[in-house]
Amino acid sequence: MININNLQANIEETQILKGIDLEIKAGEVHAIMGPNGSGKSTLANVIAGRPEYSVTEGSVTFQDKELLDMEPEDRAREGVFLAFQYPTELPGVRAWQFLKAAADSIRVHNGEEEYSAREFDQKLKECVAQVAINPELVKRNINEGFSGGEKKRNEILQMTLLNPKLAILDETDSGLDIDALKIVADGVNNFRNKANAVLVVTHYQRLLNYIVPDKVHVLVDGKIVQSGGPELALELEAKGYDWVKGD
Amino acid sequence: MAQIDARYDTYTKDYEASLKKSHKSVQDFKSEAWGSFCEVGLPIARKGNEKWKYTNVSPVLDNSYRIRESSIEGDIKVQNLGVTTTGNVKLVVINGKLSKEMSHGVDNIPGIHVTSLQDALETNSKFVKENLSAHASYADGFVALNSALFDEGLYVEIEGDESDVFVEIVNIATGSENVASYPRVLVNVKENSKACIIEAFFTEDITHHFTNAVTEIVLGKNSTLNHGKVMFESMDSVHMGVTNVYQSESSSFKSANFSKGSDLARNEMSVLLDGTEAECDIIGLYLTVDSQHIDTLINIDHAKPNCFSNIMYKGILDGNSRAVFGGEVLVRKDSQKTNATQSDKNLILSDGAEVDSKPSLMIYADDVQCGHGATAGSINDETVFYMRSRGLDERMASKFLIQAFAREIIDQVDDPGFMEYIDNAYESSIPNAILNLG
Repeated sequence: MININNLQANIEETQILKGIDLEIKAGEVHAIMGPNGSGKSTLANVIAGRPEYSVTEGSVTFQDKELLDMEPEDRAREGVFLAFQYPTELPGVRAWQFLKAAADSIRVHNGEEEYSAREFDQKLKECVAQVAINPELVKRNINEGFSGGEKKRNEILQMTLLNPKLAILDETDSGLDIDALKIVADGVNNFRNKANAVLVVTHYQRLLNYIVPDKVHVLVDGKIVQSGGPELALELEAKGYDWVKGD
Repeated sequence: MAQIDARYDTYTKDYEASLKKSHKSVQDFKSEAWGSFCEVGLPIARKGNEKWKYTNVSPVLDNSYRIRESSIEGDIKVQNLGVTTTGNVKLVVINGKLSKEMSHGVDNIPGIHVTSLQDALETNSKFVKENLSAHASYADGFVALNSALFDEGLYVEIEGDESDVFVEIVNIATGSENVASYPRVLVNVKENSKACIIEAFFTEDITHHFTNAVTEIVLGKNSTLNHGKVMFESMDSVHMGVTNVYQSESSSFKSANFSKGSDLARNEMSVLLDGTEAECDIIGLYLTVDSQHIDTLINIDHAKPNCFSNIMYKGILDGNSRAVFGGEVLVRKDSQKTNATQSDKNLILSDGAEVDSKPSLMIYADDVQCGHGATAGSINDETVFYMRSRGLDERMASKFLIQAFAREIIDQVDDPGFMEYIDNAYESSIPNAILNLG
């Protein structure tokens, strides 16, 4: 699905990613864990194409295409989805219209027709029910005045609706209570299948009790220092990040 | 009578005809107004004439706009021309003349009384005699012209605060070319009363026309008026609108102004806060494209202490269009504890478009809170990345951002039906521009 080779990236003049190698196959869920400032969020954002980061070395091939050559909207249309750590409020942008435009841009890219208003309404209703989000929220301006939990849930709604090939969750668990965490995890577990892949970026092991990853990677100072199975997350939880840092 | 300027021949003919069909009391009123018009004339854009510095009304003078009766009144699909489904009183004014057959609701809604200004003058209505042209001044040539040429005019009296009086005054210009309309309204919101009034201006089956509208609104003590003005006339029309508002103690006036029509338009609103604890909130949105020129002037006079005023305007400019915004807030010497804010933000979509925005505050009291600003909208990188990460390209993201800019004003409209109407109207006419998304 995605193959990352020696990825190095800067923000302004500071190097954050110092050579990442990572391969995620279809059907897999990978977790990236690491202390604050290790570059976890940078990795997520570089894959999605956030323009503030400049890639200095390496490649990211996504389904045999070079992702780094694409504009962010083209990556989205190809099937990359980033659930934001801090979803942006868009005052004056009606959620319904925005979500339809997003869904249509991907459909048109895949050679399908745009949704009719009625089809989309039906589709959105199904997704709203699936992620147990308040149906009133999709009638409002997107993320505007939403609580932290509602914003995160709205990201999961968008993931469900847009049905990407690769979903990246950038600390979606941060700031969530246990109930909200379970809803997010349910969303991801319902989403995952043999044809898609998920990359979960998190500081804490807690989310991984609900979303069981195939592989866990530990990122420290811009490099993956250790990889393993789900048991690695538990070990980290018990021993702390100093354990891997000291390696 | 003063010597009439030869350029105003076309108005002289209409004035003479208008006088002929009026009764004595109305004739006296009109001839006084005509005398003032002959002296003052129409404004000329030149240095020193601050109020008209950027707007040239010569297209009005150059054309032979005449008052013309509509012959196709019955054909107008007025049901398509309303702006909300909430309104329960509809007054339809065709070419400046009230159409009784198309209007409805006046007789069965409690709390509202509507008559013509002509009848009110004839029957010696004390309020009308004391207030008509008392708030709008003949120093403005367009007020004098309207006062001399209006048809029968509308007098709307609101009394009571329990009923939901929601009046839509739908002005339609129609018929042959070069129609001149002079809609005239006087609104009396009595003490402790409450109502909504929307004045809308449309064009039907005609291109060139001239609307010279004057509305005076008097708010009694502790009264509330929710007002709207919609200027959606044809792109070849000229609209010169003046609204004067007089506010008594503890009254509340809220006005939402939306303009996207007319080749040349002026919307002037003056509010006199003449009682303590009075408040006014004036919001507006103008969209200008091609060679349109839209001039907005808002005057607020804080004549008494403890009053609140807010002006919040936005503009979207494209093509070679031009917008002028003037906000003049005067805080008089004894008007302590005044709270006055104003802003005008513009989004300019093309190199050819230009805005002259000049909010000004004149403060002669010392214990006041005032703020003003005129800025162009800026675009947040986070917002743009969020949109692009969902598959929206620059063109689509731009459309959403321009709409969002407009909705900061539109979303403040209280009536949901009116809000939806305005939102749809702007959505369908947002220019297809690509913003510089950085």
